[in-house]
Amino acid sequence: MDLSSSIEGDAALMTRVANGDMAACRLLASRHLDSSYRMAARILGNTAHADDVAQEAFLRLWKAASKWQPKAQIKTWLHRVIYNLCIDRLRKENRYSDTEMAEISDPSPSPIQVRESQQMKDIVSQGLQKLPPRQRIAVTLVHLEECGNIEAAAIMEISVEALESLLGRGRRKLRELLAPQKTEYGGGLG
Amino acid sequence: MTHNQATNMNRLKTVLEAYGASEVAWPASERENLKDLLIQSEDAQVLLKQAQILDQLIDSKSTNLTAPSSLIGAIMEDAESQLRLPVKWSLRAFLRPFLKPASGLFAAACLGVLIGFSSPNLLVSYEDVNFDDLSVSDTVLEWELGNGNT
Repeated sequence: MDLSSSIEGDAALMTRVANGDMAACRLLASRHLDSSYRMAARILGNTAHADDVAQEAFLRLWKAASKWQPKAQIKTWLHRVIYNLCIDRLRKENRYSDTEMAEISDPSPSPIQVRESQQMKDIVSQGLQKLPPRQRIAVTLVHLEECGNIEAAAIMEISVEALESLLGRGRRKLRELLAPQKTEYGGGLG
Repeated sequence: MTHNQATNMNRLKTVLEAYGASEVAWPASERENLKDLLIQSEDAQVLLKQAQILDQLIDSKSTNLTAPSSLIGAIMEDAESQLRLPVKWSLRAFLRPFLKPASGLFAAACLGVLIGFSSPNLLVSYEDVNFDDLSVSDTVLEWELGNGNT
């Protein structure tokens, strides 16, 4: 399915949602909830907060249904909302800043956050929590949620070049963090 | 290595570091050019293998997180409360509970009036009419006097 037909299909679905069609709501939730929840969990490193963020994002989707314009895919729209909600939450917790300096001074996760991250039983998620937020978000979008580079840059409101820079640094750090695992793959992580 | 090849090699390195080894994730406009370079250059293939190792590591170590069922339930509840269509207000809708009993009473009244007009003596038989003395007397006293109770 190409992009324009996907956008039109999404718009038709949103029209059904606006008319109170619960089957359309259920279909949308089944298509997009897992990826929305996963993205929030990986950015925040906390499944309970990811619950809140995903629920809020879908509430906004229902509210937007009556005014939906066929300009964007629902997936991209949801990722954008999740991104903004996660940034707001990280800012409240003093774990995010737009400046590059903040990436260096990004505070280490608290013991509670570390425990929650470990509860996710996901080594990559645990590694991601050790990356500065913007690198973490870029890696999550492109490598784990399979967003295209243009889509990911649009979600983060940055240029494609800036995205590549974040991805490059993020992957290098992730490689160092996951390095103890490299023997399983015969080394050679460069 | 020509200047052009060196430039391409640098770009390939940047792309592999950023997007990994999967061609699908590479910028669409550069994909074919970089694939050609990979065919031609052994150095490029070494870079690709390094990127593949990290990709495999990320893929194998990331679990597929799924949303809990309680979250799905909460989201559907939100949808129901948010999207329930508002009831249109109208006088007819407002009076609906009263209209049925009122129309029943009105129909009964009409029927009663109709019957009354069409056959006013329906329930009274002429043969059974007995006017007794008491009913035609002006007073009970007059009736008593008429009975000789003086």
